[in-house]
Amino acid sequence: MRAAKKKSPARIYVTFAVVLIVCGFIGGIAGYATLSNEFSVRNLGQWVNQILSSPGPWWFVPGLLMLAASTWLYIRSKRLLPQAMVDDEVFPRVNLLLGQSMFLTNLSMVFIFVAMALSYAASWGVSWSILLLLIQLVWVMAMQARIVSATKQLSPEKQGNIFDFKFQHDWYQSCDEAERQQIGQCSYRAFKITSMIYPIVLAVLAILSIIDLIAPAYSLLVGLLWLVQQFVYNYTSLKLDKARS
Amino acid sequence: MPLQNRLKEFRAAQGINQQELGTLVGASRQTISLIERGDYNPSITLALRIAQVFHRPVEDVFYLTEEELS
Repeated sequence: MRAAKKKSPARIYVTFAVVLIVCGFIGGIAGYATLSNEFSVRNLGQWVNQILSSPGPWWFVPGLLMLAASTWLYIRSKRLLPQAMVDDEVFPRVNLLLGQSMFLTNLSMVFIFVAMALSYAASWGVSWSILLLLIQLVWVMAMQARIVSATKQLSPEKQGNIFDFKFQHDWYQSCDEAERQQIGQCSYRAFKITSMIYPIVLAVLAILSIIDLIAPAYSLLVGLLWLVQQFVYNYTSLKLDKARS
Repeated sequence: MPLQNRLKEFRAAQGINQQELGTLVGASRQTISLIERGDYNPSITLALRIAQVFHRPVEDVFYLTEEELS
């Protein structure tokens, strides 16, 4: 375990104060600039909306490209799979390829839903969007099922069916101490990043809702997501503390 | 601080692969591979289980270098 870099308390307090002042200053300028240029910001908002909706179903392209890359990685891993079953040197490489392939399918899933929200351009019509959405969803599910199946061949102790709603639970239960530690590290990093992003997004949305550029409901929505994240984290932490005391 | 180990050597002497060792000690093949490469320090329980498979004291299988001890 890497030792934490030691900082003097004075430095920590000064950094904290400087960050607060800088953020407050930036927020103040952004709020003032938005309010004093309300009309321009409205035009900018409309322009952004037009730009976002104009590609229509082309919004599905990034997701499709990711899926193509994921499929390519999967095919590479599949070719090496028989060798990895018997050769301990090849095993980590195949495991990594499968992990990268799964990573891309998970990213493409997010892009699919973003594309679904942005792709309803009048010139293309909704039918194209729905068709592309269905194709991509089927592709994602098929890829994930195949990747999980290949991982199970490599690690027969792994449990869970991708189409089962208890898949994550079953998979986690079949993980050993090192894998659980890895899941914990990944979750910690995701928690750390999202905890930083939520207040920033909330502040930006609050400024935009002040001038009625967006509905206050957007701030509420992000606030609720942040609340869920904080509640689940803290509640789970308390529950674990209680179980240990 | 990565723990040094002679896992690969003992495993080869015993003629078992990572998957078989993993099954014997209740760990995944990936974890055995990580331990061998020094990318993961096993818990005391797992280290003891591994040592037991090789019929060796745990400090024969896992050890710290002089530099790390000082």
